[in-house]
Amino acid sequence: MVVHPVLLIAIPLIAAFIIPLAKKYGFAIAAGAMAFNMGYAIGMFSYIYSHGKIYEMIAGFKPPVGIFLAVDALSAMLALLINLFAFINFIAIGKEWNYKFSMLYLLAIAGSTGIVLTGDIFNMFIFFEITAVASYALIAGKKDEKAIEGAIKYMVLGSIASIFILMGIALIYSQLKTLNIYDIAARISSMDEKIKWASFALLLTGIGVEAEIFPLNGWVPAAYQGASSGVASLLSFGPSKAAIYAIARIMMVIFPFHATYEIALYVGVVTLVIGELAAFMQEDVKRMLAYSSIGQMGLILIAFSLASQNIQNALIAAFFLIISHASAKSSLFLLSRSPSMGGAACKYTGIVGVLSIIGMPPLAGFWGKWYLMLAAINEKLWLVIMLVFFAGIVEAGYFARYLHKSMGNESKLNLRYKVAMVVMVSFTILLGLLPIAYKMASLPLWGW
Amino acid sequence: MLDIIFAELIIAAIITFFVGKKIASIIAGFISILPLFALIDWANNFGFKTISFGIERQMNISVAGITLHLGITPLSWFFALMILPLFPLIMLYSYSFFKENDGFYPFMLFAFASTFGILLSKDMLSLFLFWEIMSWSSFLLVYRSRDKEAIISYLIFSVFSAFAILFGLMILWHENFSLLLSDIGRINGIYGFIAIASLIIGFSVKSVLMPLHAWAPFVYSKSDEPFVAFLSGGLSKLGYYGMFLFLFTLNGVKILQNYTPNVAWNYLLAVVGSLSAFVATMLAIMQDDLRKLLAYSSIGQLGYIAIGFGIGTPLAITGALFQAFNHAFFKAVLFLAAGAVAYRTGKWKISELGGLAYRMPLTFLAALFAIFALAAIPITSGFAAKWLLYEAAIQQKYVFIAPLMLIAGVGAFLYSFRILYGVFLGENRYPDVKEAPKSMIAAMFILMLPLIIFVVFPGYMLDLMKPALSNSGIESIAHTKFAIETSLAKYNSMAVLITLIAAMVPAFIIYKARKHRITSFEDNYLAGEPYEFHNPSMHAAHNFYKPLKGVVLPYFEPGATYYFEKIYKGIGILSNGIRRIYTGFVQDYAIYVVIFLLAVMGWLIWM
Repeated sequence: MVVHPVLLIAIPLIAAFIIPLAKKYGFAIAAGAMAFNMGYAIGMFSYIYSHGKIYEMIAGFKPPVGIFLAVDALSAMLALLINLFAFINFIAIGKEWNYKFSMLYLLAIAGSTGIVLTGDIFNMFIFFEITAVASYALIAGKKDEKAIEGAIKYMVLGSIASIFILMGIALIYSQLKTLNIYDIAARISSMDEKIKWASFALLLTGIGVEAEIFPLNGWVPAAYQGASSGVASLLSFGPSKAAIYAIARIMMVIFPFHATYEIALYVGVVTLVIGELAAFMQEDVKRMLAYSSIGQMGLILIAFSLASQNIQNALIAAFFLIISHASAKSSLFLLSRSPSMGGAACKYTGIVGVLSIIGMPPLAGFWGKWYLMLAAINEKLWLVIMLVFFAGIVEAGYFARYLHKSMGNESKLNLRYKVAMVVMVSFTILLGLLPIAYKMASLPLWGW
Repeated sequence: MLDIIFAELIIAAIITFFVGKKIASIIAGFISILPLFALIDWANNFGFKTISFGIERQMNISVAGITLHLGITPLSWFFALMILPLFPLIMLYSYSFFKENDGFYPFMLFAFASTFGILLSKDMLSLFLFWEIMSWSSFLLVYRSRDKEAIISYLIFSVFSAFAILFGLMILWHENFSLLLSDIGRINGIYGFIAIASLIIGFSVKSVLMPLHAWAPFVYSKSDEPFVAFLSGGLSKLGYYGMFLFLFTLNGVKILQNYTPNVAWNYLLAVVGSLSAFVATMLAIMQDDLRKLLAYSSIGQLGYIAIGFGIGTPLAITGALFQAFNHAFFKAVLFLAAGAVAYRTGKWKISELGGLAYRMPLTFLAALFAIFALAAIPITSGFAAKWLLYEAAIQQKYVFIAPLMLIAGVGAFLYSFRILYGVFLGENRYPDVKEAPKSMIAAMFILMLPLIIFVVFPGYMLDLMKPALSNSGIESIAHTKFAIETSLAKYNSMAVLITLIAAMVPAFIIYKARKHRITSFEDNYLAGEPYEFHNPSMHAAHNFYKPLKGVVLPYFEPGATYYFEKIYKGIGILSNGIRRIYTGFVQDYAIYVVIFLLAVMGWLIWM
């Protein structure tokens, strides 16, 4: 095998363990590891783009016994997205913090990448734990009252979530004696009906806490508001995207049943509407963006749940929505550090980010909206379509208010922030114009 | 060639980000002439002999894995002819309008390119894509106004309109599984009805039909004048382009009729249009802000086009298209003239202006001429258009619509008289003001040309729209160069003009022969007190239509804006309610998690 996806997880983990030994060079080591990861993720992505899906067995043990990484178009894209944005974001904010921050940041990234790449459900749980623990500490890192409040809320809910995930896995293991996702998928029909549903409910609830779906997202507003803008940016492109992908995979691969899609669809719609409505009157910018993130996660979940019926269009929609949301929201969070959008860089970052989330062409959000509608109209989901439209109009309302309110001439951001913002937001333009996503959506996925 | 034109427009838009304001306006002006060459070339296809530049009629552009089908149709050619020529002239105008280049030209060029794209779209995706580009580029131009109401209402209504259009297009796609517009037509039943209705609602946002006009008074009155001239003159016509396309060219009327044979939906459109014309005119009469007045006037005048589409006879549609063409030019001139006045005086309120005709005679002339067209006075082509519409309404015996149109027509005269009297005539309040810059004057005068040409030769206008009408299966009206013949009457422009001139000349001679005694207003004493020059209550335009105000305003004052504000506030209350779910106590959140788990588990196990 030419590509070794395991390096994407191993290198940041090793670097994170080295950093406490060489405190002085914390930033440099972390930046180096992330630069490597970014390059490697790009390489892996281009390999997948031309060769299709790959897998890797760790230490030569064959599945279902050994640890197993499964990389397909979606996971390669997410791994690239997470590692690329992590590097850009870290270069902007890393210098403001000490070596502990660098270490935790690396752990969060390694965990998120692991969730995306792993083919083993127990490993997924471990990576969730790594990501979550690192995120609690990163949020609390600002050390003021709000930050600690956010971190504690996230920690309480995260702990409950991890227990639920573990219980779900235990139920599956008790029946099938396997942890490999594809092995479970192959034998899911032999499971006891009730235990099967119970394990799905437990997994959905547990991962749903990380994926910010309603009503499991109580921690979101507090955590995003309390965290420093760089960490809020990390949360919006890293763990949350990995978690929503994990839900999609559990739904599509392990439990490909009508009932699960239905639940995901309803949960997605409710999350979308509640998130957007809650953002509508919110005055605090970070809190507003957090609620808006909730809404967008609902939209992505809708796209994934439609993938069961109309896989091509729904997958393209999910690709574009993830790209649009990750690039727009993480740059808007960086921008939220300054109360007003002064200067061309800040102004146009804010505008492009908002327009992409609202769904204006040729930005990625537009294609997300267009293909989501193509997939939804095929199923004649009139109510869902109406609610998506309603949510879109509400979204336009508060984003217009946001753009008006943050109009100004001064900007407190330094050059590194501005560069990071502009680079991040330019991905929504770039990927709106490049036909990568169409090719990616036509590639075979593991087990879908 | 088409793709090159688009590429050049976009490259020009990017260049204008970085250059000075004068160079930007020159680049934008010249680059936007390119599509006009294409229009001249395409005229060969529609029965006119012109020069050929070898620009293709059809083109498929592949971008980002999808194909955009572009091509010219007779309908889009006619609309392009009315919208696109405005742009270079507005650029000429703005050459001296702006103090600095801060993002006006790039977005204007994007709006222009997307307008061209909308007109050329032959499939749903490109129609919607360009429609959205037009939405955001015009939103960013509204964003420059820094006005809260304008920004929020414009974005919300744009998104609403885009979703309504998207919904309609998606249903049409789902019924035929083809994105090409030419494949529409095999659709019947409730889906066809919903699709067409949804499209009409979506387009009527842009064409400011009541009650979806609520954004327009804010946006028109707060944004930069050159942009507003393009928005009102050009972009609003795109809404009517969409309506015409789906109602007549793509057989929307038949789809509606097949589903509900007993309901006259076209009558509803005509009623909405006439109410729009009537109410907006009444509100325009009451405005003191010149821009607000023109905004309401736009809403009113655009309502006439909807009346024409609603009546739906060949005569009415001809009148509506004629009115659309005129409106593009005269409203652009009016907004530009208002901009020129503000450029020199810095004032927008009619009660603070006055007597500018002495200092800005050329601006006055342009505004006067545009007002003639607006009030349908026969020396401009505005008369011909309204005449056709009145005649169509009378012919169909629409007893509700025809009187409303007539009242609105008189009302248009009332408010335009107010512009003349309050802004340009009366005592000269600005003795030191200079005439507007030459580029502005030139732009306004060139924009007046079509209005003059088509009053003398109304037949030419009918020739221009003939391909569009015959392509949609509508017969065009019998006409010669000077005369339009209808079943009720014959309109001969020459006869009307000669009569008018014959009446004007003696009046002018009598006016000149009389002696005029001019006294300064400042000599007056009122009850022993010296007259305060700048007391607003002494202005000629103060409380101008006071009696009318008391009668009319109480009924119209709440208006659609009031109800939309209620909805906005209602959503706000809903939002505040929903935010209570997020109590801030992590114990509650933990309970939510458990409830969710039990709910999902229960649903799955028992369902």
